[in-house]
Amino acid sequence: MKRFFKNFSLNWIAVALLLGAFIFSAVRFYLITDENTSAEADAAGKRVIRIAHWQLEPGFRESMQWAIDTYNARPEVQAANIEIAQLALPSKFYNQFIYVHMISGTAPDIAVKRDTATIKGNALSKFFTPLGSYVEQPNPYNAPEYQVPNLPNELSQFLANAPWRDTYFDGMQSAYDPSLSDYYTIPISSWGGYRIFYNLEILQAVKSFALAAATANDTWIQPLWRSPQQTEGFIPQAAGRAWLENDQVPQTLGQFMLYCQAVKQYAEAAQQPYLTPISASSYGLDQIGNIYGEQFLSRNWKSLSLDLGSSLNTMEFIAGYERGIWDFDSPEFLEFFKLLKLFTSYYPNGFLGLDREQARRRFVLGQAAVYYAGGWDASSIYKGVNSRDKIEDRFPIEVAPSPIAAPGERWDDWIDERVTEADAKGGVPFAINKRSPNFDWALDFLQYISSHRINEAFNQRSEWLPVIVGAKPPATMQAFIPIVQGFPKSFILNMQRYDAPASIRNAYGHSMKLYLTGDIEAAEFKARMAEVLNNPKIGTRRAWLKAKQDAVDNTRANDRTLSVERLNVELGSESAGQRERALFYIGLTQGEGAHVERWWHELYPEEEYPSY
Amino acid sequence: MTSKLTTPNPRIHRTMNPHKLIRCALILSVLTLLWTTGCAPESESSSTEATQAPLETGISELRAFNFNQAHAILLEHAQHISPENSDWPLATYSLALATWHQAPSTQQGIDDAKVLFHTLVEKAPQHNLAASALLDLGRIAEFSQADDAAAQAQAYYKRVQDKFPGTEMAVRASLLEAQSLARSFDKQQVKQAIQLLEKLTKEQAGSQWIGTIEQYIAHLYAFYLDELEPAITHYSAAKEFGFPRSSDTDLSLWQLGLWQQEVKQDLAAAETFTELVEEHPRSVYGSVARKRIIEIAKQHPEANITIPELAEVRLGR
Repeated sequence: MKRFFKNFSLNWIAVALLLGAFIFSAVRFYLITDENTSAEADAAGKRVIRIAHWQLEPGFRESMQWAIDTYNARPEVQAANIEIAQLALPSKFYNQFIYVHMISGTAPDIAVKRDTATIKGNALSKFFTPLGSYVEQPNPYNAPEYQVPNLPNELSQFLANAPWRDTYFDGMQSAYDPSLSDYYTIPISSWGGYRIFYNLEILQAVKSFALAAATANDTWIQPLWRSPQQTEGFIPQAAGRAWLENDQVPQTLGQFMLYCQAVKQYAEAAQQPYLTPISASSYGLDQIGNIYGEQFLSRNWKSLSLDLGSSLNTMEFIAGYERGIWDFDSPEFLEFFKLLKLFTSYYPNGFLGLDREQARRRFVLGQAAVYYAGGWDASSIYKGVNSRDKIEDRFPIEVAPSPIAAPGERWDDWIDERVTEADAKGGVPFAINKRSPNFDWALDFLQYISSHRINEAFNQRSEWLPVIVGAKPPATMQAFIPIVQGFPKSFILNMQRYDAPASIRNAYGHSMKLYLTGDIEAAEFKARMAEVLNNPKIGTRRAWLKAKQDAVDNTRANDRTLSVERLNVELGSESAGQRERALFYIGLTQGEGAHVERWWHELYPEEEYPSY
Repeated sequence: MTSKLTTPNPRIHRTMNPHKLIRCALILSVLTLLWTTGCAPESESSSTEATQAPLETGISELRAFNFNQAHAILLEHAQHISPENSDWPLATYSLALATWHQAPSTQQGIDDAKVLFHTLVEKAPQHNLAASALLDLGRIAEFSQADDAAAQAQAYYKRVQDKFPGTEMAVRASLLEAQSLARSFDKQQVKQAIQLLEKLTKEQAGSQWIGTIEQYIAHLYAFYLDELEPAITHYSAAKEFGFPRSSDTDLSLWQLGLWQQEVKQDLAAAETFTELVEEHPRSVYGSVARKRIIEIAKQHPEANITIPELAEVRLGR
């Protein structure tokens, strides 16, 4: 024994630990895989159907569990020994989990489809079942016996007889994949657009404070009044004063700017150093100033367009720079920069070091007058405020769209409409795993949760917008119902679109951060961007190269799908013909980058197309 | 102490042989992988494969875009089927597609596919799939870096038009030939492409492809020749027959309306925009189209243009 210990090498402990870790992780992998993925019936004959999603917002999982429990309690479900089970995963590793299991054939039966590079184009049809033939039929759970009692007769008849697809407020547009010409998902909720949350307690206090300042003609308020002599002011004095006298949240951009400036003054006067006008973070989407860029940078859409009436392509924006249509010192950029600078002064100090959660918490704690967020955050915000320990710390909230400038206010020539939300679509799109052995039950559950009665009750509980026609939205979500007026997103000159070269996107993003933090001014911004855009290796010429290469890659993918669709036509599929013609037309107009080559030929007839 | 750490100890060196440890870890990894893979629930496709005929299974994989699986199955099947068999053209064509599109794409794969397409054209020259194979050969020629790639491709498309006149395969071939001509950016060749397609619209009056042909002619007039008026005529015809991308009909109407305004056909533009607003309530172009109708109505008060209302998103009851 002594000899054994004498000769025993400690390295064997390492080997044993290694072996143990392997066995432990292998067993755990198997157990988790078995537990969380689609499977045949277990020994007791029970089939567990997994439904995976990444919506961890408060209320969603509970509502989903309610829908699951009511479904599982149905006699025919119990008789079939079926059980639906929820699998909520953090968004950070949702993609990895789902797609690794998709590839290995062990994914959950139902999963939220998330757009990724892994699963686009015809890859979608590899993993998920097309649902086109089912959505054309009425949803059986919309039959009269399942409906909410006393529905208006017209609505009741419509729900009972209309195709499942038509019972959606958006006609199930988000479920449709144009490249495959089929429906692949069943959305169950929506969240509308972004809106501004106002703390009404702060609003009333600040308006009283500002009204007193206006009456006394305090020095801080004077520069805010806009007049022919004072063009940097935001709002005509009479209009501003009239707004201060009522109890409304800001309805116009001028009122909003007046309000933000007043909050700053109020915080100083009330010695509340943590109170800021707007809560914001590095998340970016909560920086309300950014959305006004959409208005400033959409004015040139027609002159930028090289194919009038087609959706603007990133290359058209970049070619616009080469053509001298815009630059970073064009009026639209200069005015946008001025507005951004102002908004930045309303954000908390060091906001680029904060995350989305911290920004939301600042508002919930009453340390910000305003917070800009999407409908998916509404429930968290309301619950956060209403669950504060001290009742006196709770405050009323009002939600409103971002204001546009009224005539006579600053930027009224630029900011006179918003981006339209007409194409707001259903979200949380559940798709059925192509390899699920439980397809019929998976489909049945999705029909159940997207039926009028259940979808209404589900979204009332989760405090999201329902997706079915005639379903009542929760009172807190009324303000998020999409606003159809406005211009399309495709008009916006967006330097950070995913298909712009990374060099340009990064230079823009980086320079913008430096500008927002005050490290550089607009002139320096322009110089930095010119250095990148005019560089033949990473600038606009690179963008031409990338545009062509992307188009060539897309053509390959398009041709693969086309080949299969043509074969489908030959094999007698009627629906394949429509899909083939749609794809064929894309190939004719954009195949092999024909469109970008043509633009180049028009703009630079004497020059060869850039090459590596 | 220092010397113990720095001087190699033969015994320790032997027991800590890193190669042995790495080998051991590798073996364990492989065993673990094999075990877990073996434990994973059996996929449905493997169970169905056994019950389906290889050709059906291969085609079914192909139709699900699983080109590599399709290739493996169809290649095995090809060894057991002779050209006399009635399934041979389908089997050969499917194998050729799978070979062409399998990942990763290689020159060898493309060359093998070409051989298969040629074999099909040679041995079943009248079969519809032979026409399809000629189209595929044309596409492969277009992708090649050869100097005469366009001429090669056009020759294949012409063969389809000659051997399969009046068929939908010939329509596809004519459209592809027109595209190939237009890509030269030479105005004469673009006009030649348009003539080819205009002739086709007469020959294919009842074809489902008419909308596609008309819209492409409009595209060529508008963007290759900068002639909007004939473009509008053909675009309007495409609208009547149905745009090939029906899901983008609102965008097509927006485009048509803009073109009409460009050539001062304001009243026609107002009609087009009205159709867009009324028929496509979920369109992102609805609001901007309506603004244009209002402008046109102001400029043409005598026309008594009715301004359509935007459909609001309604939830609740």
